[in-house]
Amino acid sequence: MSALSFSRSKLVAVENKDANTLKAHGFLEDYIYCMEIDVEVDITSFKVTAISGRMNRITTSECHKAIAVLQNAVGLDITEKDFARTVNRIIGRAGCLHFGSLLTECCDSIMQAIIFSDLEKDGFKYMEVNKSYAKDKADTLPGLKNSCIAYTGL
Amino acid sequence: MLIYSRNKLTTVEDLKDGALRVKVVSNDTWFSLSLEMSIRIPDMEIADIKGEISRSPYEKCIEALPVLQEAIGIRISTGLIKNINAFIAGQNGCRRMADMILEGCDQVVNRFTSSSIRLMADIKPEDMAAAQKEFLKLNPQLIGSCIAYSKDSPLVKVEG
Repeated sequence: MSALSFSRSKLVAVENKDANTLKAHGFLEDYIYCMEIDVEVDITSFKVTAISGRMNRITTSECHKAIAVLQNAVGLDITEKDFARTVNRIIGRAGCLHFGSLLTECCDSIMQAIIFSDLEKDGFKYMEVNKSYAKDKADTLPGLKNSCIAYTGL
Repeated sequence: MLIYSRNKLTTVEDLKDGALRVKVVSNDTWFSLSLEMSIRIPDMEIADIKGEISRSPYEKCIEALPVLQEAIGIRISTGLIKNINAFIAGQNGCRRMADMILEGCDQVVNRFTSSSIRLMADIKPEDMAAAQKEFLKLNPQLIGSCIAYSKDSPLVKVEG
């Protein structure tokens, strides 16, 4: 039997802040790091409007400088095709790779909350989504069409 | 009240034959996905992979699973993100599974970095500069990877 040599958990929770804003709280913990992010996205423009972060466990005396770098994310459009790559560059490499990874997870979670918001409004009552729901979302939400098998050939 | 939650857990195990077993489980409000890979060492190559989608709003998602086999042979090295996105995400694939492969590969890299970081934790302050120099020699991939190891960082300048 083998023991774990590394483990990472990421937890993201999304809530409505107001009629036009979704807020995600992301938490990352692994054998090395522990950090958190709060990020807000305007659901009419899909742009990041606010962000803050905390580093609870780090490895160097320099890591904390990455907290200020998080502000580079304000104004980013989370539906941009190269969003993850941009985050990796302006948050990850310019600041902290793990903050970058957590921010990408938070923004992807916000997108999932937007995609399935109609189901959520229906009270989570049904899970079987017909093809027209996928087509409607692919036609109306930027970046979704042809992004995977579910949103292709509709 | 929450409208969406996601819990993603990635684990890395060292196996007796020297390979690594990586498991990624993602459970969120709408999807439940799991992925298991074995990574051949020292090649850092994906040797085996299998995935499961046990909960999804779209029946079609499960049809993307065969595409995972395209990841076999891909190495955790330069071009990884481009390769995984090209072969696993896209019109016949699953973007979530592609993300989970990349997450698993990230943690394989962190598994190796963590061994060096553990050793650093026991270094006395007076020996730290020399230890830092040695640390960066063992982990050259860190230089330029983040603000702590940028070219202007005191941690890198000590490396000389």
